Amino acid sequence: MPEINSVPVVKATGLTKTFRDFWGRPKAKAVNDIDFEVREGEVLGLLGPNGSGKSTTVKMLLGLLYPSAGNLSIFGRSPRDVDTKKRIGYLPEETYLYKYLSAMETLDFFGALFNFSSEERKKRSEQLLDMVGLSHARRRPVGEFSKGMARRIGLAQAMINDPSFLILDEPTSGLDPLGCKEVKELILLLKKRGKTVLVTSHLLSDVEDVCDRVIILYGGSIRATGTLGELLTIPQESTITTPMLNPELTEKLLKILRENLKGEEFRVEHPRKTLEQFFLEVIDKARTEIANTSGVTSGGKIADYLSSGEREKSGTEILRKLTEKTVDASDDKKAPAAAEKIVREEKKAVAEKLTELLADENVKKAAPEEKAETPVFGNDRKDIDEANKKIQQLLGNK
Amino acid sequence: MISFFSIVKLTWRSAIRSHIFQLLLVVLTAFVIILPLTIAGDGTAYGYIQVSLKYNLSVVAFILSMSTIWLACSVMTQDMESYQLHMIVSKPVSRMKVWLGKCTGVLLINSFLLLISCSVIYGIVVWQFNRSHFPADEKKKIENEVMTARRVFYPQLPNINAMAREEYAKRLAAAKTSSAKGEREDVALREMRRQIIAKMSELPVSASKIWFYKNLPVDLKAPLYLRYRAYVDKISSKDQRETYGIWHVAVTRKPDEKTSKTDVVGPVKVTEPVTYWEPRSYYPEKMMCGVFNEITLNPAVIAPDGTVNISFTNLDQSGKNLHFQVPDGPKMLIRVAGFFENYTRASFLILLQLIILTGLACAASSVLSMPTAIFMVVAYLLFGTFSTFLVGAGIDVPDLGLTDYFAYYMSIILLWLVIPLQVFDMSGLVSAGELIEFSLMAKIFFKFLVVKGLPLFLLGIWLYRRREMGLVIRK
Repeated sequence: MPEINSVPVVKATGLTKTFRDFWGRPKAKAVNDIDFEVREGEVLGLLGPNGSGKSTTVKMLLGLLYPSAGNLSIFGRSPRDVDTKKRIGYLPEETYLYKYLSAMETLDFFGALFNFSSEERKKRSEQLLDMVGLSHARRRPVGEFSKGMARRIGLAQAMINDPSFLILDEPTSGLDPLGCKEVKELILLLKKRGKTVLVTSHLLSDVEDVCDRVIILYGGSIRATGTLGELLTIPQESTITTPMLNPELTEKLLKILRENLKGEEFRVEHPRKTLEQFFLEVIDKARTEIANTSGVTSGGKIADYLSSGEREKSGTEILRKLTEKTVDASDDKKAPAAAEKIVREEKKAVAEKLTELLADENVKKAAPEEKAETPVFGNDRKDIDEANKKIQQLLGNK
Repeated sequence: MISFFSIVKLTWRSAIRSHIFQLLLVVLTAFVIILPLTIAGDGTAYGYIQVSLKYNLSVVAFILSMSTIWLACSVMTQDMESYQLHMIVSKPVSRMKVWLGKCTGVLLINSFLLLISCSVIYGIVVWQFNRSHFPADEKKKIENEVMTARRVFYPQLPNINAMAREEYAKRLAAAKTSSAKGEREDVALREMRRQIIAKMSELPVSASKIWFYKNLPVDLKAPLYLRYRAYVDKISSKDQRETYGIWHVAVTRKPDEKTSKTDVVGPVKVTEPVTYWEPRSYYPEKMMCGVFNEITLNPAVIAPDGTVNISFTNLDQSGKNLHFQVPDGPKMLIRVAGFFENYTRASFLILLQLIILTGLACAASSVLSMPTAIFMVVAYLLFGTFSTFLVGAGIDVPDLGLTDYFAYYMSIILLWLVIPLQVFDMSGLVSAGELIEFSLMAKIFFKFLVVKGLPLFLLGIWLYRRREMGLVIRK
């Protein structure tokens, strides 16, 4: 997991929104005195059922609604400040695009709102269309698009300005599992590039896959907040995943467990894939067999102008720095227990970091001529596995 | 500015791809092309050209006004109600820029349509005038009276209010000596005014009436035109007929030798310059009543101080009175510009009307839904029209009810606020060949656009900036 900066991109304190009727009498309190922060570089999930206050919060972030009480700032400024919006990308929950504009005209229009020159707009639009796999539909009016295509063009327009902070309202709504996967991978890629992302969704599995932290809203109040690790780990239970065990070994293991757990319930079973994982495997297989699929897929190229930041650093160099830091911490003789804890946590962080970095390195090696056009979505699973092995070797199998 | 123009462009695209707008375009084209070709007028070439100009300009102004209101309200509200505006206002564009961009887009579309329509009307009128086999005198008349731009000089009026007060004082003095019940002062004064004006317009048989004009150009070389309309016996367009009379012009000069010698009465020795009434003709002239007539005058009638005195003697064969209404002049006309220039000025005033309507419609739809905004703008304009009518009608009829007084005074207040659209209609002046003065245009510009319109536009922008777009319910 990448380090999360403590600088808040969004800071809400006592945020309240009360809707009133014509006579000014309070009708409904959509958001009720909530405090939260979105930190730079994190992906935050805003969860909640319908009417929980998610959309109201997003609208307040965009300056479409004004808080009834409390403070809300984005990059330290009011959400209504025009300059703040230069750094924000917004994907609404539904297609709010001008139906008579073609895909190219749509991106050109939104690019013009950022005062980009026509050459710049053209360049960015072309790259974004390629990135979201809509190059073939550039001249088609957006009104004729399927829901999935509309989401893609919506995503493209949200990134036209290379935003630092992206607000994605139900980003996978209307997309097929393949499209969902691509969007999730895009979010992870954006995160890797230092972008801050706020995702609202009803689809909890989507949030789980991409978010560092979540806020769960209900009735306008925050009911739970924290990292997924904090929220989802069941500390009272353990899971051991092994390769397929033969019956003798299983029996031995069960014996040990029975002796040690003394009447406590436990079970040994085969792990299950999620339906989404299974579906994606089937599609991947089909893809390798038939080159031309009927569905829309991403163009697989990241737009040049999207700031690459960390990606350009050498994975090895970062590894060296992180390892040095780990060694320093382990040399701390005065507090060996604390040092050991730090080493353990940092090794874990290094392992995760390396997984990502090496995945990138592998991609670069695989396609050196596409230096600036690294595939956005779907790094090969084999590369990641190899990376894992390398990490294990580097960490001495700890 | 790129973002501003992108919003203007989007507004254009939105309008051009709208079916209602396309239908409107077809209707406008049909009117502009078909109407001039189907108009018959009063049967004369002069009437045909006049009616063509008047009707077509009025129809174009009306259709474009409706189009402007509809389009502005639609452009401002539709993307707000479909949440497309959320995408724009979440980008770094100020709401004022969005408002102005949309407003400019609507205005440019309608200005473009106005340009096309006015060009087509002008082309058709000129083409009809040139290709039709009108009689030479009719053609000449059209050239002199319609396809021209003449400055108008109205005769100087006496101080009617002072005259009314004087008359009222006289009657009041008389009433004090009698037991007659006195009238209310304001009602009485209004009645006095009416009587004085009626008396001023009346010309008994064998009597002469004088009109005085001032501020005419002393160095004029071109002829002057006197445009008048008289009614015989009663002021009604019915039962009018031909009558007779003599026009005189006051001339100040020293008669030359030749004039003295040809004097039929006998030789007269005149050494000092004298002012005398020189008849246009020594014989009674025939003229048609109930319609406008024109006579041509030599520029020499203008005195060195820029004044002209005209008189008319009623020589009606039946001994009936003639009536020269105050609004009918007689007007003194001097050609100062061409028809094209005058026509362009009239078109500019229609454009000014469209600017005001665009601003009003955009301001109303800044906070209202589309149907409500259209209703508000149309109601506002109708208030303007009715208020003008009510205030113009006056309330000096005895025994009026409270509601009549309420309506009258409310209309006066409303006229301070609303913009009566009829002030922009210059089709009457253009078709009468009368110059649309720059001073009039400037007055309309400042009074209606700057003083009355601009505050409403700014109010609209302010409300638009403050509006919580997220509260709008999606349609």
